[in-house]
Amino acid sequence: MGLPKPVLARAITDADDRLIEADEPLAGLHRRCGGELPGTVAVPALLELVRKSRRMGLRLARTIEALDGDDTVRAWVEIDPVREGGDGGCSIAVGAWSSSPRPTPSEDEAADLRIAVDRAVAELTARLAPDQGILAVESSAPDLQALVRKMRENPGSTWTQFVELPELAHRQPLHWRLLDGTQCVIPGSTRNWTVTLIPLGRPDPGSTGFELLLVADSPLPPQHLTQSSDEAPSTPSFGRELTPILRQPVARIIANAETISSRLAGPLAEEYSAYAADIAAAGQHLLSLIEDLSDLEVVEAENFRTAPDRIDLADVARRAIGILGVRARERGTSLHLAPSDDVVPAIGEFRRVLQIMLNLIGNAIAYAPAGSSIVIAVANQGSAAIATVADEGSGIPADKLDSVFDKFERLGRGGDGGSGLGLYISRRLARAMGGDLTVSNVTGSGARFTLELPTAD
Amino acid sequence: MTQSSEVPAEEALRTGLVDGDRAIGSIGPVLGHLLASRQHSLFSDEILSRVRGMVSDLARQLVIAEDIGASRQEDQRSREVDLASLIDKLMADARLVSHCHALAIEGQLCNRLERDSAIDPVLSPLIQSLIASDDTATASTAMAALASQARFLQSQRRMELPVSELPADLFDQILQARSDETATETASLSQATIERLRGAYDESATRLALLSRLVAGMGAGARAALSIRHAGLGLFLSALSIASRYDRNLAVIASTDRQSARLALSLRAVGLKAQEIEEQFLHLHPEASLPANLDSLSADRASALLAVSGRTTVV
Repeated sequence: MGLPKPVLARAITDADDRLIEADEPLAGLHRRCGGELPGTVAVPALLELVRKSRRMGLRLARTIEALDGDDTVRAWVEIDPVREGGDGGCSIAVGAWSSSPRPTPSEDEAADLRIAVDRAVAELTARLAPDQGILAVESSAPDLQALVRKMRENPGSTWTQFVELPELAHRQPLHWRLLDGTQCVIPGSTRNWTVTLIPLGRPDPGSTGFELLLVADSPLPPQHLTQSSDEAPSTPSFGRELTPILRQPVARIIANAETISSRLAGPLAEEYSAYAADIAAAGQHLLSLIEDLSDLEVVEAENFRTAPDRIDLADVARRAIGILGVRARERGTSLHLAPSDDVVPAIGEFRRVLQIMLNLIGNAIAYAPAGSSIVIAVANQGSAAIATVADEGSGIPADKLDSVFDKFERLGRGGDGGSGLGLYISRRLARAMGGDLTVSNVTGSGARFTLELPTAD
Repeated sequence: MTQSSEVPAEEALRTGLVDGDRAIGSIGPVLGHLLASRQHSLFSDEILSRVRGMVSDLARQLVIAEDIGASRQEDQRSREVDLASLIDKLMADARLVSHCHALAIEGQLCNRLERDSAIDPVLSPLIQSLIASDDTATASTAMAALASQARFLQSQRRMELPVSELPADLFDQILQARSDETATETASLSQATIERLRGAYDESATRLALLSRLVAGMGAGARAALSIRHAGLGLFLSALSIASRYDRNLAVIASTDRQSARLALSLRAVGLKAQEIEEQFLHLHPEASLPANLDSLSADRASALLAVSGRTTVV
């Protein structure tokens, strides 16, 4: 004489314990636990129960507990293996659901948990002596093999000399507390690494040495199991492989040259300071060239997509003006935002649109005569959102209007450090977002670039 | 009246040993049963999961080796079926499973000793002094042993067991199991793959071999390795197994609950004093109490008692 049982949510799994259908709140919890729909049941306690029920062919009814962000979810679930006509899966009925805040773990617990997680995901582990010299090192990550070899060839030397620690000054040796949690750049690896140092020994932490863990910010893309030799050895990809390697030393050159140029480290003859400023400027150009080349690779990739976010083009324009305002003042040009609609809704990826605007305004600043002004305007125009950047320069020769967007087109300008890629990349970006980038000459004044994006309404 | 040659400690220890034998005798069948049925209660969930993890890892390595060998990219589904059947097959191998079981217990014990007794699982004072040895061969073996011990702990955390770390007879056994298995099916472990795996295998590079070599190299000084605090657990277990002439896996099991009689007798048989034995018990079984007057039991008598058990391996 069963009363009708209240059911909050229902779900169905298949013979491989994949969740095929699920109502809220179960579906949400499943996703927040990292699951997909359809996809293997992601709530650990539920997966265990579903497996058990499927294997034993028995109806099960239990309370399960799961972590949901900062909350603990307790739910009453009834699992029914579908025996007849089914595909061997189960049906799930959720009868009660309660969510309560999880007690915040103590500092010790949190630290233990962090160490446990880092140990589980570390791709390089090493045992260090109390002076942080290397005793043993282990890694199976392909991009760390060069590092492991170097470390093994130099047992006893301090591990920090084999990696770069961009967040820390160069003074060695460093106290382990400074090194723990810092970022680390490894020659030969394009990934970013975080250092975890676990001090060993009691009562003084570190008195018997350390455990060193390097955790990457992302896994290596899965490789085919078969490392067959018929794959042609591809040339190193600029964006993925070389950019992070080049960016680091160049950034250091710039930083050091700027230090010298501003005489932070002590008095220096004027001309040497000027040379250092030249070095810094050349480094900046080099860096922007590297950025352009890696962008080029990204936008030329077949699978390049932009995120279709709802953005405000007027806001993007104001931000770009804010960013470049100082540079414009240095060159004696002024930036004006023409009076326009307060909000110009558009569809596009925020950072890509900003990149285009920075490129257009940056070009205008670079080529407009000193003392002139650059006018930026945004507007809604039918089904499009429009942004224009107009300068008071000499304009673009009529026969070059078409080729200005070509790759490596420099319009006869040399020696200014430009890569000739900026407008090419900007147009690719604009088109990838369903818009376009065009140029025209305005009679009596300079060039006018027009960015067009689909409107959001 | 007890026999005149029998000291009071003997009675308790003999009973303890019989008890221990009975427990050991059931390890093989119980382990096999538990792993097959997936309903476990006798052994801790953690240990069982670790054993299962290691066996699965071994199977996975074999399947991957075949794929590389044959430059074959099977579809995911058939690979999983293939893997699952190999795992089942390896799970049924009592010697392999008991080896993994011993490793899991050793790994867990390493962590417990580090937590409770601040005993470094990797770098012990003894290893440290061996590394500093004037003899370069000893120093480099000690260095390699240290590295392998660090690797062991890391793979234990990840429930992995590289095939290259297996003792030779088990390595041979799983290759055999794999080729038997695949002989009847479309996928076969090719002769070339077997040869490649065999060629790459080097028992002297395994952790267990390195530890044994260190103990052997110490000659009479090996007694120093019979202190957990001084030698660290890994070296202690190897030294105990070599001195007692039984399998290292049995030495691991001897360090667990209900085997304290075996451990006490083994340590006494190799000549440790009651106080030294007590120190080891303090780390391994802080709550257990040893029979009084253990010193009055001679080393020979302890050996004789152990010989009654006659056990030198777990399975």
